Amino acid sequence: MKANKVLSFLNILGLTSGLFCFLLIYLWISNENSVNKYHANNEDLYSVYLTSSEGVDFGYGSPSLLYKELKEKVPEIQGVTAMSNNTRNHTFSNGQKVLKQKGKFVSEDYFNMFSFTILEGNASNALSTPNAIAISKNMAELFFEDAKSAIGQTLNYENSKVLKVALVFEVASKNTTENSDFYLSFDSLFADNPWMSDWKNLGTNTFVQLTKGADASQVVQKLKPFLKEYQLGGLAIQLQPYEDSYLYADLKNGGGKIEYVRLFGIIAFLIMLIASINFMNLASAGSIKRAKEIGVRKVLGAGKGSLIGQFLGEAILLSFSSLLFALIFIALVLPVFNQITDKNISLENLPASTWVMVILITLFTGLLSGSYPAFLLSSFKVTDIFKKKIETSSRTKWIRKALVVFQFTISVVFISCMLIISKQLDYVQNKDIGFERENLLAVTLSEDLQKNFDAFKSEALQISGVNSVTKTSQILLGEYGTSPEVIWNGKPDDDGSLFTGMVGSLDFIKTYGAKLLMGRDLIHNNPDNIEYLINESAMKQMKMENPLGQPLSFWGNSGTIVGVVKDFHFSSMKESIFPLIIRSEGYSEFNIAFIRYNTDNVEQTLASIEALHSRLNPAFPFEYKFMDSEYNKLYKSESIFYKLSTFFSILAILISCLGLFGLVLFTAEQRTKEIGMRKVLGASVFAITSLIAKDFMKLILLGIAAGIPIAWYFMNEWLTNYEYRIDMPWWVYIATGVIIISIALLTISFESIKAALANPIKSLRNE
Amino acid sequence: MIKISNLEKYFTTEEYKTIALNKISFEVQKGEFVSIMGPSGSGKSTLLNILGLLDDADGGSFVFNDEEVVNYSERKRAQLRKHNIGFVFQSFNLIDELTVFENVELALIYTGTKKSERKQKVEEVLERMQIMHRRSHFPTQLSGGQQQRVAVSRALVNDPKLILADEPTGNLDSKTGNEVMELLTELNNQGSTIVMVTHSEHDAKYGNRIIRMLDGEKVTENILSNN
Repeated sequence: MKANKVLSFLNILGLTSGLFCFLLIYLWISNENSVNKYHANNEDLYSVYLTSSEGVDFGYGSPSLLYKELKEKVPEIQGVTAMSNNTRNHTFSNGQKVLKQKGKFVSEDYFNMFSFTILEGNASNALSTPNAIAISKNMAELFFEDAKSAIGQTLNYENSKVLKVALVFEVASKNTTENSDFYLSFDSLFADNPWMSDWKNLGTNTFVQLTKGADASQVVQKLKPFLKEYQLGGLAIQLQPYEDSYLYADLKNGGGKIEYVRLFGIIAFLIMLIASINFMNLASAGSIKRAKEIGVRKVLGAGKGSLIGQFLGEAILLSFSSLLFALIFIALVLPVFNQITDKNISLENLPASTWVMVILITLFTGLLSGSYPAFLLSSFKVTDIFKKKIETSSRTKWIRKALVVFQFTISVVFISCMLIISKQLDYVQNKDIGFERENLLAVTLSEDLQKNFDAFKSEALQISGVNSVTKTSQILLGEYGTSPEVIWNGKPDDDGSLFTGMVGSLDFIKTYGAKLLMGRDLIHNNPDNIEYLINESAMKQMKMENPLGQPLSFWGNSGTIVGVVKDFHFSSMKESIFPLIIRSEGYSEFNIAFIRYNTDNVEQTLASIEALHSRLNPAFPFEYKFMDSEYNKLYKSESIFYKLSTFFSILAILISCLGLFGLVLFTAEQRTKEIGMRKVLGASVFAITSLIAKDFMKLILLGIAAGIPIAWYFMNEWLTNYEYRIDMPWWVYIATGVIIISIALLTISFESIKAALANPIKSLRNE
Repeated sequence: MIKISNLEKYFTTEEYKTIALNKISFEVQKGEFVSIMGPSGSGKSTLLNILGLLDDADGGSFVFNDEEVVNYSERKRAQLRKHNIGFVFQSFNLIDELTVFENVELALIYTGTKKSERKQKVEEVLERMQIMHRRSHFPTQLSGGQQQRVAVSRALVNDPKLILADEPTGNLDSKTGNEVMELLTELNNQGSTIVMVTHSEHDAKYGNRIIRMLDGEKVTENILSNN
């Protein structure tokens, strides 16, 4: 009786944990799948990306003027919008209120193509004038009272321009990647950034809306020669459904976040399988205890069908009770889960379709888990039951053993994958990336400071703790554009190599902490005497033997190569290091100051820098980033994946152990007589414990043997995603084995020792 | 060989305290065959368990082979038990997954006997019990009488000083039962000391002495003159 109660408890606990994991992952996956799909024009929206004529993709970057030309010349295109390729923080003020807000530059059609809830203003022409701004409801409330009072008002932008609020919007769905507080007119950028009019600058994102019923592939076909006219003959325009841009952003490999969605899908399925197996195992083990009940029912006239119905019914009932518990647990962990995954999932506003799925899944689980025990139990022959013959059915035992092996195979795969992922993450986060990202501060240079940089630099260097200061065009980590617009001596005519460009200044190498391979740091900031630093990859790309002193032109600015920097990582280690060119004088403003500080008194140093900033630049808030944490952000999805997979691995093992525990309990009960007899004959507790444990350990070992090659295969595949990766750590498999064996032993010995300690008199008493 | 005096045993549940053995005293000499009789609940099985060192007493004294064992630890009792006492049960308690040979061998494994010696001893005892031809069979393939022969073989294989039998014929028909009783008598004639618990007057008479129990106490003791 006791064992029966324990079995039911383990059953519910196992199913609850299984459903809990499964549903949590299901919620996450359906959320991921619905990101950015809420736009009314969703079906006709496409992201533009470029490929070479051979099909090699150049990413989402496109020429800034492309949008104008597309709209004019392609009738199938109903709307086009250009968008600055990253969200930046900008400073706004209204009276005494000065705040940084993040936003983008978009062209006129933006609010017509993409869905927003418009609170005030007219979406169709909101950004048609250069000094117009569209702001979020939130931003309206920050600077004005509300949306209504904000419309038509002015905001001071970067302490240099006055903008008029033409639109107040609210994001139409939480399930979006659009998180801008404001949008500014894209056209207004051209005046200050003449380089944008150059077709060879691929720094802008372009989105199109096709006319209803237009066939995207035909439009792509038609657009093939489009770029020839603009001296970009080697490039072709491609269209990707806008909704896919979120999950399939890795154009090169056709992957992206979708890989995590698939992986978690598999994890969810496997966990559910483990939980169902538990149920089958425990129920079929427990069935022998119910044999008498079945016998009596059969004698009283119950048919096979009605028995199957009864047991399936019980299983379904059990799975729905587990669903209830699982939902309670989900409601409890969702806040933490949302925080980890950066999501906004809540049980309250799930669509009806999700609930229907949840119910169907639970029903299916009940049927799946209940089917085996139901058919097994109902097939018992009455005569066998009363003769107690069913205990020795070897087929049943076989299936049970196979299921245990399977469960532990999965657990082994989970644990070893988790360990390897953690090793790889550890590797990318701690590898020498070629520049010193610790103790490096990136301070945003707003307009005034750009003008007064020399004063800022010389005063900053007086601050105790500041070692060196330099200014650059961008933070570089994770955000960089590419361009083919590079000319060097001996460049072949058909060479279409792409380079990343940035602007640096005096003390760049010293401050950034990169290593010089040859030559020197930048020492001039003179438009008439432009200096170039290139990295190793660029040197290789240009096939230069001795680059020092060689002429180089980037964006039509002729200069001389003064140094070669040892390759350093400025993007995720999934990618190889891109050819990089650092120029001494800017085609654009210097946006960032890098400050190298020492660790003596970081707080004091930071406070002094901030004080200096507000003295020289009172109209702008102090905005800074630590480069080491910026670097870690490159691995955000990996980091989320690791946290979640750790959590789910632990649960998978726990569920497997629940099942194992139940089986040991059951076996110990079945073998009480034998154990008793062995004790009478003088067997020690250890001998009996190992007798029971031995059988189970064989299954565990088999599971380990089966799991390791599977894990090896998957992890080998996963690691090939990385240009820079660890070697497959063989010790992980040993560690996994040790972990699994220890956990299993602990689980097994608990009940076995109990059985071994029991007084044999009771078990040997005549029945 | 056995001397118990004022032996006591209680069973306590939450509400009741049942007296299973109430200051019982008697002796068993080496080479004796003692039958213990009494109705269900009279304490005879409890007594046998204590004699077999499977259970401990709550009071009194139990001297086994000139050793006071009443306060022995579980470990010490197990040590003493596996070398000195053989058990025969009503339900045989053979292990279904093991062959006849392996079942008998088990008793030797736990006393740490060497493999070659085990083989010799098991074969010897199986031969003696006339069950050698069944050595590779599993218990479920044997008749009740044959199973009990295996159980007796297992009890004997360690050359125990004492054989304890708990209703050894209870699960057998009368003909097979008699065979088992004759087997025990023969063992007794060869020098084994036997204490047997039984319900059957018929079986009890195979012994040289009958102790009758009621409510945990010894009521009468008859010495039989049949042998």
